[in-house]
Amino acid sequence: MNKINDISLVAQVSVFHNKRAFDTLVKKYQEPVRRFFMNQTLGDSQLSDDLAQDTFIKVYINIASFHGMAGFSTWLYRIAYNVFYDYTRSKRLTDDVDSSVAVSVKSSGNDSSGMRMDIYHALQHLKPDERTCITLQLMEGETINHIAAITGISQNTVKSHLMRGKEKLASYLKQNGYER
Amino acid sequence: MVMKDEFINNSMTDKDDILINKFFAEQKQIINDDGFSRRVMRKLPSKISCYSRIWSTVCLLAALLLFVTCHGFKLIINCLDVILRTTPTHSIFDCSPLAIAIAIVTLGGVGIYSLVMAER
Repeated sequence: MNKINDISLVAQVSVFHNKRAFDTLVKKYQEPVRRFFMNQTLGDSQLSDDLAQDTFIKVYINIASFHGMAGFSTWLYRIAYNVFYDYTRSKRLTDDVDSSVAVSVKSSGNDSSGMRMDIYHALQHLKPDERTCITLQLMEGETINHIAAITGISQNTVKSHLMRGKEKLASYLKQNGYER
Repeated sequence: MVMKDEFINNSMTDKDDILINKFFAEQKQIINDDGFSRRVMRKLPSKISCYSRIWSTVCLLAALLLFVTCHGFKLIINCLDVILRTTPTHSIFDCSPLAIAIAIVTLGGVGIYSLVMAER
């Protein structure tokens, strides 16, 4: 039902350029998309919002290329993943040019509570791909199939990223007294 | 012994899974819209107006071409001349009902279209 509703909204945007339907989609998916970026950027809320905005604009421009083969959320996460991938690649290039650029400050903004910092500290111990797979599965409840479709990596590699990521997280949590 | 080790490993993994799942469940952030969707909607490219601008330009050029090739100025002057000569002898009631109906339908259509576009 949810999927049908999404497809109906996408059709309205694609065929009639109905901005109200697109607004409904943005309102529905802003939270998971922004949370996805918050986790990838380790809590940089300003950067997350900018990347999420870019994602939705790309979705609007390319909405006609959504054929409904995968769910809308999978397609949306795929675009978000590509936006983040492009951002990290461009940042790497900029950092290569100017090596004096400081490591990005993780602005806590209004998410400065200890609990939220804990998750970003924990995620900091993971490699980017492990972080993406772990957060998509444990935060957003995506299946291994969907994670593979979003990231474009094979299911076996997703499984090994999840396994290694969970091992690292478990050891981090134990070291920081979460076991009790 | 191997069986015992496997059992210990599995139970450790289950414990770790529970620990990690609990941690993530507790840490899941709730992000309120706080004007985000409004900002996105404001930044959307105006795809429709871009297409309509191109279409309008094409139509305008075609109309100008027709106007010039069909001696538009001469036709307008002739029409005005006829209107000015015959207006005092005509009233709206002299128009055919079909012409009035077409005018009402056209104006109504334009009005509804404008309302729909303004709504979007």
